[in-house]
Amino acid sequence: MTKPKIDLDHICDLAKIEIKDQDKKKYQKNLDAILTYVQKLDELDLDSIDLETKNNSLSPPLRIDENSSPLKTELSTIIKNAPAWQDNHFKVPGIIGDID
Amino acid sequence: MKKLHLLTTIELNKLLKNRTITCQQLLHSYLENINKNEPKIDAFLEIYKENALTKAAQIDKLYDKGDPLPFLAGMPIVIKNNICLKNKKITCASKILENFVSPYDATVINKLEKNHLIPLGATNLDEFAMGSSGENSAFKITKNPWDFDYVPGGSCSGSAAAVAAHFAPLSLGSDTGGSIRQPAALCGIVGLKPTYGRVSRFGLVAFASSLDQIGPFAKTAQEAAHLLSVIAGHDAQDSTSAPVPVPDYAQNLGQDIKGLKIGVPKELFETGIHPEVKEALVKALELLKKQGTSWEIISLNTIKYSVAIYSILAFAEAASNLARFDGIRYGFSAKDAENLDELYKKSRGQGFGDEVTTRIILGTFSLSSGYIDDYYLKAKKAILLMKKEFHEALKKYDFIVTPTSPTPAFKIGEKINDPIAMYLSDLATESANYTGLPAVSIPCGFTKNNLPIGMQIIGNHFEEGKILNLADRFQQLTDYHTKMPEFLEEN
Repeated sequence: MTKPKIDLDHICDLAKIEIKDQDKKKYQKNLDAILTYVQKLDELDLDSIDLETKNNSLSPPLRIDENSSPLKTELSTIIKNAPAWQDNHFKVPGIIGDID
Repeated sequence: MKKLHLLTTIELNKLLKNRTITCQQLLHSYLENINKNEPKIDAFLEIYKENALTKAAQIDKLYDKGDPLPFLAGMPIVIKNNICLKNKKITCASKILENFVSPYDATVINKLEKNHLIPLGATNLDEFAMGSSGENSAFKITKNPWDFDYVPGGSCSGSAAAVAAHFAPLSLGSDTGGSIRQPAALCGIVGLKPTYGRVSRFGLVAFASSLDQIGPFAKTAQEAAHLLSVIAGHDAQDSTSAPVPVPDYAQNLGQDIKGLKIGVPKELFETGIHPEVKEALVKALELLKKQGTSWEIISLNTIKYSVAIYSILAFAEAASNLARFDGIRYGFSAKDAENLDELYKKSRGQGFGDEVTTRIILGTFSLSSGYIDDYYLKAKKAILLMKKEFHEALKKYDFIVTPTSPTPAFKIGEKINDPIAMYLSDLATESANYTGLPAVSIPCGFTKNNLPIGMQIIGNHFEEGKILNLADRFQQLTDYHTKMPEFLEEN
């Protein structure tokens, strides 16, 4: 692998996370150090490893196709944790902008 | 008689059963110790004093009736604060979950209840279980009970420190790359990561789902064996839990260890290991040899790549799992967002700490278009190679033994600005998570500065009984697990 420089703004946008401008240098430095370190993996010969070969010793954990509700939690308990709740819905700002 | 909080659960069980003591007296002894010494250690995020007292009174009534009770009935236990307890704050030591109240109990908590253990408090951790020193908690830094200037290890900083400080005889933690075993080693206690699938993770806040496993902390292998029997077993609510019968692990201790073979990987023995850790490990191996076991140096080449694999795979899974914290359904929500995209970004940016943010960014990167083959898939392939190596080794040897951590505890602040140095303290533990193998850390010595040293015993899948048996035998021959931090002796 060739070590790329992480485009911090692009990845933060993908990860939906905002970091402060003054912290960017610190993150870039740590991320570069970790990325440099992981280049170590190039020392391993992995060409012959096939990710498609799976261990099938355990059968897939499928349950019977019956309607069941394992969590018997009241709605009132769930909404206690909701930051904003209105008319039986979680309330969020508009996708383009707050229309309130 | 010694103070009750200084006794083992084996001794306490007898005293509770013959009613020499009550659960309430026992609980008060722990509470008194916590009251006096918790300000020095900072192991807890919350103490469930009232709930615990009520529960202790209820269990006393059961003991008084004379009904047979499970072995650990009446024992206080503390819980890493990423395991859900109904109606309690589950913060994961993160600002983003600072006020989150769990609407349900984790399966392991139901099992504790069924066995009449007493949840006594929520313990501190590195935020979302990401860290090796405990310093990544958003709320406080837990100190090592053996020297308050040193870290207790992580991510189960509070769970390990609480048991070492005799705040509770038992605790629960979670282990994704060594989060149970490394702090157990640094705090001089026993910590077990069971086989992947042995214990249900239903109700454990997910970090890296292909690696996470819940496990016990205790002073001795025997006590850890009792607790493992309580928490293990198949659970329909965790599709990765295995339908494998649960033996009585404690009952099966005391087996002969003669003729058992131990392989010691040179990758964790010849380089990068602190001289005092190496000396303690060799002494421990020689002691076991006198009991009829044999040991030799082997090679498990892929161990050298553990931290590189972790930095890709665990971070990628973390980025995916932590996508659920979006500021909408629960947790911290930024107040100044003008649209939905801003709500996500600001809530997560303000809610997550530095290490969690670093991991989310790197995990997102290694899963992103153009890089997934070179990073994520390469790490997955390296794991397959490692599994093959361990599988071959465990055909020849009964155990793989390593130092739990290459060094003893380090000073608070010492590694906080050097991520690679910090990650390397989990170099010896991560392979058991990739391979799904069970592994236990037990105390095997002390440095000249009186800091504990841990030895890791790895066994084959679902052979927790076998590794605990070796650990128990070692503890019968040594007294490292009976030593106490200085401040407790002053009491």
